[in-house]
Amino acid sequence: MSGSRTSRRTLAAAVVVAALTGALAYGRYHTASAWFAGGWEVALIVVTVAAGLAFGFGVYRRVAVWVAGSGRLSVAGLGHRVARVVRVALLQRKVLRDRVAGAMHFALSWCFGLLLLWYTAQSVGLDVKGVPDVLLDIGYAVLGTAALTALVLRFVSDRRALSPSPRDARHPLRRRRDVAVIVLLALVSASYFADRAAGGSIASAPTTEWVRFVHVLTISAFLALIPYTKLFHVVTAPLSVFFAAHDAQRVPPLPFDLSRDSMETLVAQDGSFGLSDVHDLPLFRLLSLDACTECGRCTAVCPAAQSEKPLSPMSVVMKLRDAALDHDDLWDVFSREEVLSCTTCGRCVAECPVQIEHVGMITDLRRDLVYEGAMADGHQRTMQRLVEDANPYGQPAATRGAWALSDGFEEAKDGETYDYLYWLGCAASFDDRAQTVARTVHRLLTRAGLRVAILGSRERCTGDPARRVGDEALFQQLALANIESIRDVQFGAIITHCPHCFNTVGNEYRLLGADFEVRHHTEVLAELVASGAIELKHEIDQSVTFHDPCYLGRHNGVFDAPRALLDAVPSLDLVEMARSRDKSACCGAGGGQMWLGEDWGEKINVMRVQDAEQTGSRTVVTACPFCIAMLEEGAQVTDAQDPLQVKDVAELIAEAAEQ
Amino acid sequence: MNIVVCLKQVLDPALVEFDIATSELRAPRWRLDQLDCVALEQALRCRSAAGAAVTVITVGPARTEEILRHGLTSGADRAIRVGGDAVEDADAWVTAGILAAAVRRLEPDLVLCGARSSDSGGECLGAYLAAALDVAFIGRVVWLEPRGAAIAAHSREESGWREELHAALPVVAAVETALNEPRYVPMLSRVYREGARRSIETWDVDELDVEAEVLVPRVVALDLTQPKPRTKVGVKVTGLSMADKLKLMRGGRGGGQQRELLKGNPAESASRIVAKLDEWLA
Repeated sequence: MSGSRTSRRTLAAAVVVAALTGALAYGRYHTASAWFAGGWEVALIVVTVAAGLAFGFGVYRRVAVWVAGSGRLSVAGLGHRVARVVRVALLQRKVLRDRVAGAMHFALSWCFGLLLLWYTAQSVGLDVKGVPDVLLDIGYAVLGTAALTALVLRFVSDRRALSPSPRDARHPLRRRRDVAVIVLLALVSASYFADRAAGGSIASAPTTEWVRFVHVLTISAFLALIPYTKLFHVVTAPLSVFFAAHDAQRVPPLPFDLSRDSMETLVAQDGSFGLSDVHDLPLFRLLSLDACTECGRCTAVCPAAQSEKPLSPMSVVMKLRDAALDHDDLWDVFSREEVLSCTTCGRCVAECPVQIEHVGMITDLRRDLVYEGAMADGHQRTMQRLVEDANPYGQPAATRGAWALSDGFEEAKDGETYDYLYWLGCAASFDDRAQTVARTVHRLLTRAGLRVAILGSRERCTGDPARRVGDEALFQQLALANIESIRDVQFGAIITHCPHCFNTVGNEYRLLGADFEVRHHTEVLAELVASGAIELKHEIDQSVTFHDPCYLGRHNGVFDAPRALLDAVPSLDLVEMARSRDKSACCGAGGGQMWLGEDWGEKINVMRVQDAEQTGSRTVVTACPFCIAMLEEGAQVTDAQDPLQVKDVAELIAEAAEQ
Repeated sequence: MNIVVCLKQVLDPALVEFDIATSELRAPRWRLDQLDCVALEQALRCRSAAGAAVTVITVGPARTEEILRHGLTSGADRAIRVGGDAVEDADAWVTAGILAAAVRRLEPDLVLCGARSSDSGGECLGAYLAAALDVAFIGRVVWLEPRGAAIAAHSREESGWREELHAALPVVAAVETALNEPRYVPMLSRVYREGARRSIETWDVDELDVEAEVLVPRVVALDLTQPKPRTKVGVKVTGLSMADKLKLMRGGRGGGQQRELLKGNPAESASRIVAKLDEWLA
């Protein structure tokens, strides 16, 4: 059976190779005579066929990996996908975020693309003589200049983006290949001009045959190398951008569903619920791995890499890609520390010009760690607390929200309808710093005439820490219990001051069939201020800076509401940090780091405090209890005598409204 | 090596409530006693270090199978529940007698149990069991290491003293919290699923070789009274780092003392520490 399948496959491959050879040879034979004669003509045909076969085999080798992946390619939301291809692949908006390298790439890629089109057209015998030589001259000149710029960026400037840390996988080889490709590109341009200098037009017969042939050789080599090097992205990048999941960064899919699957069937299943074999990845993710251009933008902006932790997102992608071809065991190439270092801030995903979703794949690897019982000690302790006390602080579940109830918060009752269900979250339930924020938000809302209730001890951790560290079953248990509690209450929307709760309840509970409207307090307060329900009468003559929490900004696109609030405070001066909005840097708490208890490398929160101090403001405003905790700690480390003040947006609004 | 771990199901101490009208204790859930978790963890560690079979056993009604399931999903190889009419009002004496009869059949090298249970806290089950089995007993174990056909252990004494004891196997050891930190086994992980697929054996007291007089409880609970309420003093803490705050909330020590992080090379840091010490001593 398998023997006959193998021989059938060999036969099919032979047919394809023969057909390709025939087509290429025939096509070239017809057009070659316009360029060459005699021995040169034969050489041209041989080179063309060899390059074509090498290209074909290279593509086959990688496509074979994709089609072995799981799932199908989704085209749901076609308009959105096409728009993304135009924005990201054609207009290269993400590449252009890095101005110099971006402009270089933009020029290079378009010139290369158009010239390739021209070259292919004339190779197959189409009449493209109408293209004036001067246009080709310009094209090749831009190509050459861009290639030289690329070399300068690599060797002369000390740009981090293109020279990632030595931690990167197979670094020396990667660099050699990277440089070789660009040198080849420069040679394509140089050989063209050599041909021109010899006196001919590229569209007509050459004056010096060997010079023209060198040009043909460089182009053929370039084409042949495409599927074997990072150049392959010219094929895969548009595909990856098109097929990438819409919100994969926010919502890694469920490996199982405790609300539907019975425990018996799940227990009876063999195999990991995480990523144990790269070939189990969905098709679109395998494809996206092949789109990696090794540009290093992800690693350059990664807070873990910047703080010398053993993680490089680019290296993650390269290791997965190599493992797909070489059939490596993933835990031979990945270290546990590497996978655990990610803060899930999503900066790498936001920067990636080919829409690779590192965070989702890292979470998937963490799920395999959990499956194999290799969870970090700090995470084990935290998960144990989540099991027993439904909060990561290890405080008794029965006391949850007790302070709030004795402070005038109302517990949601049957038969009553509330404007907002206030999701306190674990931080505000048990950490006194976050409690002051919750108290302020609650006061602002009730003074604006809104009826707000909390769930009290019926509220549990949303499961966010469990999900981020890969303990999917615990996440789902907590989520399902919360969904039941929330459904018991009548309310307009859920409000929370915690971006992690905001993200988990708002986006991830949807996977379990619960569609709640969740609003962040900055959004609600911005509306109340805009409508005049909260009046900001007192001046605050201060300069402040704003730190975007990852799960509010980058993951959920709420950038403007907190800024609108700060703008509305009379006399307040908002000075943006160099890294702000979707380029905001992580505080270091996310992705389970808060609970890991490991001290690898530098402290991410201190780095972020230094960002804030560079603005000259003595106050950093944010909108997340964990960011507050991390930044306050960072401020203590940076300057214990006069630490930077850390405030929630709501606290400033209360100052301006009440004082 | 053959290790048997004796487990006890207790009302969750964190959630237990006392009904003053009926003198009843209530809690919304049962759980495996914390010290028994430590005993189980030690058995699993001995197994991975020395290679052994771990059997978990309990004496009690059907509801106690929950803790045996926990033992299996944590990695134990075998689970046995000893049930029957006699187990209903068993005190430590009766339980030890029944356990001894069951454990004898398993021919263990090492029997582990918690030093005391969080409900009755008699601290005698391990000793009773060792006496009934006629083997060595080591109580209050805070460190333990199998050494061939013997075992080395540290037993906690008053005022922080520790006694190092060696005994030839078989041994009954009653463990303390300080011995280890029990692992967390994620639901549906590989070990969990393997354990969930194993079945729990049920033995009946009547089938075991237990003398009738062993089944008569020596201690009978007559009444329960409510403990006097204790006043809790709260301290408002400000200006602490997040890490210190977390430590404080979890009952550890942190904060309090003034802290300063010294930056720079070791020589600079050292000279600054010396300067600080001089300042304080002056």
